[in-house]
Amino acid sequence: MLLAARSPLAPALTPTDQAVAAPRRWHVLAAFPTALYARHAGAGVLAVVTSDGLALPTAWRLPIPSSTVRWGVVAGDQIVTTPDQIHLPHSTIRAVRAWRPARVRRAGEARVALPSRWYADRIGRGSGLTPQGDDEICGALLVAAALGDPQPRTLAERLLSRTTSLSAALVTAAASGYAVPAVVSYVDAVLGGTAEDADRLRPDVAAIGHTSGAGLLRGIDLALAARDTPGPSEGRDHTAYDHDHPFSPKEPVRA
Amino acid sequence: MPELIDVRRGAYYDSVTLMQVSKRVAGTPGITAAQVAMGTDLNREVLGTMGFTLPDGIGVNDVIVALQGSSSEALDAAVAAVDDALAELRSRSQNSIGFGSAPEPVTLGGAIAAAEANLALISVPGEHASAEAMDAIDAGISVMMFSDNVAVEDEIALKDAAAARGVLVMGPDCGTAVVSGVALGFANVVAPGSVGLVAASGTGAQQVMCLLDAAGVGVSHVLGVGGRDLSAAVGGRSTRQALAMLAADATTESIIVVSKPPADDVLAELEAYAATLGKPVHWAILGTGRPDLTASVEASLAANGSKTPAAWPNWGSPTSAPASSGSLRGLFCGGTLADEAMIIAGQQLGPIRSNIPFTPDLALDSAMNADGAHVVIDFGDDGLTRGRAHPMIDPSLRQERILAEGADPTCGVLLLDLVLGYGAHPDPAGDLADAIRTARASAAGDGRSLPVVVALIGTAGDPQGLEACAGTLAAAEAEVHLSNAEATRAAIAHVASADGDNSVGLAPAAIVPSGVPSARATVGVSALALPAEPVVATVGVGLFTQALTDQAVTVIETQWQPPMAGVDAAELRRVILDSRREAANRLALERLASAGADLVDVRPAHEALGLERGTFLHAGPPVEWERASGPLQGALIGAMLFEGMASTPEEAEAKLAAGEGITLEPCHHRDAVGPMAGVISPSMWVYELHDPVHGNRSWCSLNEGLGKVLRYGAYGPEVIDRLHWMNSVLGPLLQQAARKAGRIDIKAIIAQMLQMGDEGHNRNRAGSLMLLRELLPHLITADGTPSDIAEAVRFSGANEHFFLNLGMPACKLATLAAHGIPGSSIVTTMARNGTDFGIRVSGTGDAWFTGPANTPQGLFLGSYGPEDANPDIGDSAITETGGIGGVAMAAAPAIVKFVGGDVPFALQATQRMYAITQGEHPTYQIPILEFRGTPTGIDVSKVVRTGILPQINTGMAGRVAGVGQVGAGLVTPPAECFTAALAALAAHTPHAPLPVERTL
Repeated sequence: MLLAARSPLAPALTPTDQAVAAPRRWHVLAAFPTALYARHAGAGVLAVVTSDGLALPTAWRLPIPSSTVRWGVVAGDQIVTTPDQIHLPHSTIRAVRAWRPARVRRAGEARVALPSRWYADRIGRGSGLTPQGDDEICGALLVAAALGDPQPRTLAERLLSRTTSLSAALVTAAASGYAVPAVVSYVDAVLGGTAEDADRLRPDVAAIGHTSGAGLLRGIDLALAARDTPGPSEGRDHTAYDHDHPFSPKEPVRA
Repeated sequence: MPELIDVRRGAYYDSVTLMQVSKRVAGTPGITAAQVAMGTDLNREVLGTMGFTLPDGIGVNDVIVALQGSSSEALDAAVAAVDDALAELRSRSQNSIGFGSAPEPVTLGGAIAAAEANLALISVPGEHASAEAMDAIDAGISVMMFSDNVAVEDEIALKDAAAARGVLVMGPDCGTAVVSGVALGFANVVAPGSVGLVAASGTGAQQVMCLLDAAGVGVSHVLGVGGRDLSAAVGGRSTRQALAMLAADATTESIIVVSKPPADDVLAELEAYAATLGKPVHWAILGTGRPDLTASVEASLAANGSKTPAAWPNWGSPTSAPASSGSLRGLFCGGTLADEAMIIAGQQLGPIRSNIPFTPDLALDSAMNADGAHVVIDFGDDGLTRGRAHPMIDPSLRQERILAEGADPTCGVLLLDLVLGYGAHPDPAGDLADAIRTARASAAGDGRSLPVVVALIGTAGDPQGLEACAGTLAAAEAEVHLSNAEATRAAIAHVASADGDNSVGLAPAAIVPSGVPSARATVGVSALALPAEPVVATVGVGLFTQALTDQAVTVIETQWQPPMAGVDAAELRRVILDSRREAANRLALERLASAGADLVDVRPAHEALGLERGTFLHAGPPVEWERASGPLQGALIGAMLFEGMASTPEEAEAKLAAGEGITLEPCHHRDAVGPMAGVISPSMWVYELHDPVHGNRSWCSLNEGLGKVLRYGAYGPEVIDRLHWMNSVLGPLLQQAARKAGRIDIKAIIAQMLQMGDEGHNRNRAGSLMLLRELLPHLITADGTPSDIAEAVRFSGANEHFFLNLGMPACKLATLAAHGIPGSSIVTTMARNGTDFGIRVSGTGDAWFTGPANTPQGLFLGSYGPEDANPDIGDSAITETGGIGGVAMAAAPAIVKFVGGDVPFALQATQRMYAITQGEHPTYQIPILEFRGTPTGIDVSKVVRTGILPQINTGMAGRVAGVGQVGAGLVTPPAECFTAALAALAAHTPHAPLPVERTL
């Protein structure tokens, strides 16, 4: 039995609207040493990462490194989940705790005036499970989330069907201000910290993945450049990103 | 009855582990008494009272196995059971060590670095806890100190250091914390939420968490600050820091501060500070005239717009017995719960006697006899936990007392607490229910009815199960309350007439800032941040590590041992807590690493060092002729002959013994170094090196090659003839070459040789060839006869240790630069004279700390054997002091063929050294360790903490004067050099006066 910490943003392992929880079957999208991705058409993408893997905001996190984990599955296989458990061929992963994904802080109020065309040109562009165009969109969405601009989220979410399901899950998380800690720290620093903080943290973002870091930074930089503080006459509707407490899950994860 | 005492030297296990082992072994058939414990004074005393006779000489680092049984077979079986239990624990804690893999961390600092931990948890004995805590603060991470018995001045020093680094010290004596949903120590499982707790009380915090949970309100973080934090002495240092962290924390919307009775002015200052945070802060502060914890929680719920439940959960029905004439007996595991019960009960019942009394006249005697009075006992108090685990883990003492109360006719009601959650006993309710039943039955046998009320502190999410535990207790006819205040009032009702003051609660004041939060604490984004996903480094009780593993937390455990024998723990703490130490040691390393080393000249010692006739420099610390070892005496005899001060060895020896006109002085006193005997006389030629960064100069004799040579104590005619040739031919030619070359960068050669299989002490092959490469163009064009030049080149090229005499002064320049920094515990000299090993330390000036030199272990030349070897000798340990040589052995795996050991040993020797060094050398790197910098800057405090001594590779001189080299091997300094240095460092620390004024 492997014990894991589950993100409150992780997809439900079993349908929540049924009296008796039926197991779910997921299709393995990829099994890397540090991450396992599996998809269920109705639930989204389940990500399990090792302690040396990238802490995606939606992931289940294992406290142990990839050198000690064997998934026992390859892309195309199926895995089964029951309410708190993910069943792998050689082991079962059980959630014993909820971890708290990093979320950008609210830092003032401004519009991120990137045209809808910009999103449409990028979504799904690039190779791999998380196309680089989507990384750029995530970067812009994080800045928009921190500045309380709901428009980019609306524009991006319309396009989600045009990218991979894993990437779509990350775009959705970014729209609510969630990302891996290094990126969140950087956005917080750029918008609310000192220039030295930002300079110090930028290389941590650049180091993410092969191209993901560069894509995220490009999106963040473009969004910052497209910042446009609204005049008093403009609307300030922040319903799409309010800072209600993120952790009031309907099913709290308990040991 | 047969008994057995087995003492296992130098094996450390934590007390909880050993108690588990004891318990297991006690269950072996035929065993009547079993105790497995560390050999502390207290444990030896306990074993003595159990009737065991212990042998002398047992130290605190020894494990004592004491067994008594019906037969010797039973004892044998029990010893086997001990071995099995310990082996199992070891295999659980140790991962497989692969070829050359890094050793497990032995200090918290090492663990933090290895796992990039962002939070630390300390549960080692109190006298050792401060040193570990300082590791965490130095690493810039927050730390929870479960350890108790930590001196208050340590606490203040640690908290001041933490404030300067923007981190938090939770504790000491902090039992409860929750950071981003991860429970540290004793904590209940609660839903995430927006209320942050700052708690100077463990069980108080747990009561508040559980009440909030019952009200459906979640918690962001629970930051323990230690029971003394709000005392006048500590002045709320951690409370303030914790408030600042929660104010900066995005998930926290309101804060509750929980504390036992605080110092009034400290509380007032904290209230004023809290008003500037921009978040509502509520106070759940115990004290006479203040609301109880339950009332405070209700008030904070109301202020935050949350609903208070119509009734707090309770189970079992009140016993309908009439009010008894007996008295209240409150038996608590939680100190704050005991305090709260005493405050509430005191207002209705009058004086309550206790082991934690509000006034000294109410103190119980040491036997804690009730004598018919109202009594509240805190079984978690320090006085009752010495030598045993906290009652939340080991409830046996309280169990005994419950049974005793059952038989006491003056006991009118039993008030108990039971705390659930992480860290607590896995199945606490069953045993407690049994004790309750037995006590009630015993009372019933005497014709009494004994009502029992339990405050059950838990949540539905706790591993033990709140409902299950409540049911078990209710089945034993106990009345169970989630609220300790309600439980206390229910208990009082059984022994008091109902006319007392029932409304202890006053309306608590919540401090809600008015207007805009303009004075919001201005903290940087990264400062004061609590880790969103804790990666925890632990040191101490294995139970806490397991509790974290059970929560799917990434955790790294320190393989901790108590400091080396002979260390005064108080002195060690003074050195570690010296506020100058961290910066001083960082500066020392920076200077060590940045010092340059250029060969600038070669000239006679009388010219370079001002040596006068009759003055002889030698290796190591000062030594007189009579105490000088064979090789040093031999070398001095040779030098007398060479200088023409004697014509025969016998004459030389007589003159040296008489001492007239002769001065012996360590090379180090002249900033020079010499390998092995290290004798430098005025006529000998020396290399002169210059550090352009710090402006220092250092000198070293020319290397004579291998075999029978002066530095190994040989003084035959061929030795003296060679010295003359070196003076007349080699020296002058090298001088021309060095001067023509200008500056030869020795440091650059060291950096390269480490990547070519040398370590710079006992393997100098690549270094020697690179040096020759630099010198050759200038040597062959020097002014000299072709045959002299050819001989000089041949002599140098044939000498594998040609470079050693340049590497040594290069390292001397590095350590010289790092010397004399007040507060620094970095070693700047290690040197031996064949009799004594001496060290000098940056922060203690030119004082030597010596001990008898060890004899190296290694491989021997020809037919020589261990009996031929002299104890360790030479200034060449300056290489290890400067970050090369034995500490860089991983760079030179081939050296094991020369000094002994095997290749994995070489790899591990270097990696072990990182535990005792300040850092890594930026220029000297080891390819096989992924170009990690060599371990550099040996720190006295780390050596004494870990018991790891610096690894030295060395040549072995014959013990008889005149024999020369007999082998090469591995050696370490004697431990007493470091314990003596520590004592001196402690004496050099400024005595920090206890602060009278606090600045909040």
